[in-house]
Amino acid sequence: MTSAIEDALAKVEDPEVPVTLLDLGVLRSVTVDADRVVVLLRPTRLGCPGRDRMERDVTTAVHAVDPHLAVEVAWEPLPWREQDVTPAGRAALKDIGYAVLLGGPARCPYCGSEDAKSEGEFGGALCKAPYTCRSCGSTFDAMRSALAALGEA
Amino acid sequence: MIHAPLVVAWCDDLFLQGHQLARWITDYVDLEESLAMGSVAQEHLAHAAALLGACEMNEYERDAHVYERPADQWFPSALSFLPRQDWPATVAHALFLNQGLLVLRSHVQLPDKPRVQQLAEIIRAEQDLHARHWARWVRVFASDPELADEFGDRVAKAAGMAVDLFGFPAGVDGPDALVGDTDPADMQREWAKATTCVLEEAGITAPDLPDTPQPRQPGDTREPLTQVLAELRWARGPGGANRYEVYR
Repeated sequence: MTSAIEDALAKVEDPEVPVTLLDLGVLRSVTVDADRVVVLLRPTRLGCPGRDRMERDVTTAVHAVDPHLAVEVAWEPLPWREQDVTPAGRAALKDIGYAVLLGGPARCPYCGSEDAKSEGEFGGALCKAPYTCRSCGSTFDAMRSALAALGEA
Repeated sequence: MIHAPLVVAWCDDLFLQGHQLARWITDYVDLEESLAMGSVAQEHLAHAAALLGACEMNEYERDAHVYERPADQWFPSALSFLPRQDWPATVAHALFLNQGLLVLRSHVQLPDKPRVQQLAEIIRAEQDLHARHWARWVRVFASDPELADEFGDRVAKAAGMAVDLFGFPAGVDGPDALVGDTDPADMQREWAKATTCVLEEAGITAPDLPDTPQPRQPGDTREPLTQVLAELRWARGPGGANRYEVYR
């Protein structure tokens, strides 16, 4: 049962970016008891508007395995970091045009150049920051935590 | 709920300013700024909810707190709710409130509640990003003599409204459980110093900022606030269809 629930939860995707919560580093742990599942999540930003949807999707995934289980979703009050994204998550993000900042400059997901210009602190969503690649001219978003933006990651 | 009147009053500021900033998603400056305002507004609402949670107010109580509380129980600073400000005034008000929140956050001390400390640290990081955003706009205004004069005028007007930033709600005693024995006058002075620094680093002459806090006044005596609250309640939809924390 535990394995089936973990497998189901590992497939739950972020509501906006088609990458799993597990690969984004948002899904932190799963605890399965006889009649209850506790799912620990960590938001990329405190005000992430996808949180309610994530809770519902996580609950749906557990109930698809066993509709009688109680599901408790807890949000961890700790800062999400880019390092929380798995290698598979980074590859999936790159495929759909996102960069992930890992302590160095933003790498253009289209041409691989590290010569990109930051276009501000805020992009199309709280956890994204806009860049323009000086090499190929592409614009792209980087998944970026507040700590990385401040140089504290 | 714990007794934290100053922090709860600051949640009024965050919630109301989040509402006002959201106007700029459609009251266009430019596309990038509209996106930024959507994010800053969302984070203000989330930070207010997190701080109200730190005051041991549950999700349903927080919802009632913003949607059902009578105007006479709101104690916002005038900086947070004045509607339909122009962009330079919006930047001045947002800068003042952002610097104030960073001062307030730095005094949140609950060592026996690590969750609150962790939330306070996340709020600090996210508001630091806002601070960079507003400081960039101050530099933009400072770089053009005409804009600098206009912005300086808005800063001077905002300074007159900032006198209650660290004032307790009128008739309510301290201390505030989240900031402990910190003297509100010390926080007001810290705010004045930090804000002056941001302005002068950009080349804007800072006015004398109020360094002695005055009590925050109740909302039922302030006409623009009652209008804003009516707007908020309209946004909630028939039968309370829209909750405060839609992100949860």
